[in-house]
Amino acid sequence: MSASESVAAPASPGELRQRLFAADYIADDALANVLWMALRLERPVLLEGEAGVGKTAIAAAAARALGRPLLRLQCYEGLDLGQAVYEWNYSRQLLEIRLAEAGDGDRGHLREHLFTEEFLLKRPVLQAIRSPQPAVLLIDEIDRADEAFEAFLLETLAEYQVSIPEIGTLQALSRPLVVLTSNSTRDLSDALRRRCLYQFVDYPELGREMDIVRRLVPQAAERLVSEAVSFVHRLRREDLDKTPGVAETLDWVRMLFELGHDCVPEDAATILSTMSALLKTRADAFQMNEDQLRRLAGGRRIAEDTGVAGPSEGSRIASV
Amino acid sequence: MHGNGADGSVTAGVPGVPASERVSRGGDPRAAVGRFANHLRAQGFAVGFDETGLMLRIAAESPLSDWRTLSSLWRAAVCGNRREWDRFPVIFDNFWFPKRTRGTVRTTGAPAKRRSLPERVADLHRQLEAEGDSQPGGSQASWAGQGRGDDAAEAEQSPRAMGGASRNDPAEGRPFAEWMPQDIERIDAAVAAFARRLRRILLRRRERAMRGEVDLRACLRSARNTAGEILALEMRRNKRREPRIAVLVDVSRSMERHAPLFLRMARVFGERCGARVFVFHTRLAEVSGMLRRPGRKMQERINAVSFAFGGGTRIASTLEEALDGPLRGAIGHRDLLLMCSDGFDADPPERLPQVLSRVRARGTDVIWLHPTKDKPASLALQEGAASVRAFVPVHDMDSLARLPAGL
Repeated sequence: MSASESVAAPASPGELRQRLFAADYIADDALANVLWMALRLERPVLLEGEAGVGKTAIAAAAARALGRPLLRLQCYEGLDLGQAVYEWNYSRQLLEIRLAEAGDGDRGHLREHLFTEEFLLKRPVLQAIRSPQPAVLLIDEIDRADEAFEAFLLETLAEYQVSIPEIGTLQALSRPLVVLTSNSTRDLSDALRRRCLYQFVDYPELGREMDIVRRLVPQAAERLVSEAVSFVHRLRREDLDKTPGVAETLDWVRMLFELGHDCVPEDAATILSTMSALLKTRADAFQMNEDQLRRLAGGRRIAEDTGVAGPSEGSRIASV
Repeated sequence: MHGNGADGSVTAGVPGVPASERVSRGGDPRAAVGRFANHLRAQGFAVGFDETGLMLRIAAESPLSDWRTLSSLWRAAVCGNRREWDRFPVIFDNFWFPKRTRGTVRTTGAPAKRRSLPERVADLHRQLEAEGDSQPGGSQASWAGQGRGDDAAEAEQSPRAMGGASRNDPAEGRPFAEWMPQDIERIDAAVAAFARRLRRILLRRRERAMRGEVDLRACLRSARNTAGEILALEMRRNKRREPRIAVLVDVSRSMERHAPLFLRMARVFGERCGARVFVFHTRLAEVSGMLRRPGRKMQERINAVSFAFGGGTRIASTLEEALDGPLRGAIGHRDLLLMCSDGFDADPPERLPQVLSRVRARGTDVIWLHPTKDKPASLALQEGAASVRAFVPVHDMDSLARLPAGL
């Protein structure tokens, strides 16, 4: 489905969930409900959660599922209106002035039209609300932006309008689905929170994460997927600086697949050599040794012993 | 926004709402939603007029195949952070399905009466259809006001009730040293509010400096786009740098009761202001990374750190070790060093003033947070007091609330 084909709004949360699935995002009921309600009530959604749980992916998938263009604003400290909302196109204004000076241009007309929407450079926020077709506006990592910018967003999020001193208030031509994400590096203001529907995005449950990996890495063997996801879930319970997210699980499964494995290797040294996909800080890499990996991978062998899982190739040979 | 819905005058002033409807709390689903909003407020949720209106709109809009859908949507409407997010399902179940949770969950506030949630929402749909009012916002005030339950009315009265019963928390007003270990967790919110305020205080001066003078070079650079004509003035913006903060927490035996509190405070400083946190007694150890990691093991780590120590104190030596080691170049002009200690030092009394004067020489402010009501009376600290910008007591909730003013 191309982003330019606008699709009718989903009639129910279940339909939205199906569409998200078709757009390669496996949403749980709560998330589908909130997104659907955000569309119905035309309210922004604030997604909060650890890095790597798929917050940004939700917005991209929603855009695909709804057939809307995705406009992304990546926030950072120092982000200002000129980069987020609009800027005057000074070069073009100057050109108009020069043309009027050179020819017999109507100066009165020029004076009237020099500060109109025609001479605005629209940045993502303004693009989203002035787009004739409803868009999905992703305001990514809002917690990185300054409080001043957060305060500015209030008008846009509540009224879907932007006030420009030289022109006045520009109302939305279509109301976008606004998705804000935050990694909770700082507290957002209550004013911003209460304008949004809030959804805490946690690490997916075992079954859902397996579904996600199966969907996005279809070439990986079923056994590799189930073992790898189980391993990552056990790893998340460890005392790590940076807990691996879904993106890390996907990377690891892809890495193991590329290395020719159809299950998580028995050998702890082999697992350790692939840990760079899961452990992203020096302290985490330092504390993870072969003994710990053996312990984490032990769950599979326990499952085999109790008959829950089939024996691995290596153990079958050993028993023969 | 907090408590708007609890204002009885709002209800009284709404046209088109029959008096009987305002009174009959049991039958009107809007009143039930209002009471639930009121119950959420009693549980500490920031649910005001708008949020209650949103809950009602959601109830009116959603295809209610089951109450779980409504629960998840209301959760999205009224929660603002993870703590509320985690608490909401239990509060929801306890309010709407009290029989199911009776004896298993204990919450405060008014429990639901008589009718179940699906019944009430079905009533709501029927009423809206009957009224032909697809925008329940038009009568928001009525149900918000009707939701003003007995507990809201009580809240307006004095917290002291009749017969000596009181809503006052026994821990309030008592020194932290007398708190039970489980009470200590309650100071997190107060400390977080303080850290937010502190950050603003520390940044204020720099923000003022950001409104700087005209940057001529930047003006000329930007004029290249406009054929050399300067159309917009570029202002010089100082690079915004948050003050760096180092927190040193004394975990010696004399601080045994207070160390968990100060470590919690230090953790919040680490989270909100990126502070580096050290613990010391006769040796120094950095615990910034340990405290920064979220999760269930946080308390275990804090306990491990505070109980693994517990001997004498060498404040001067350990502070010097920090200045020459991990804090070399890490704190400087306009930065902040927070010392959390009772001031009892086993080093010679003349050493501490020397080391503190080294810190001052870097342009770093030293704030001494002490767990006693009065300023520490140790000789070392009396001599070094000139290098300390402020001595701030942190011995109870009131002193914690006053802390920003002391900085």
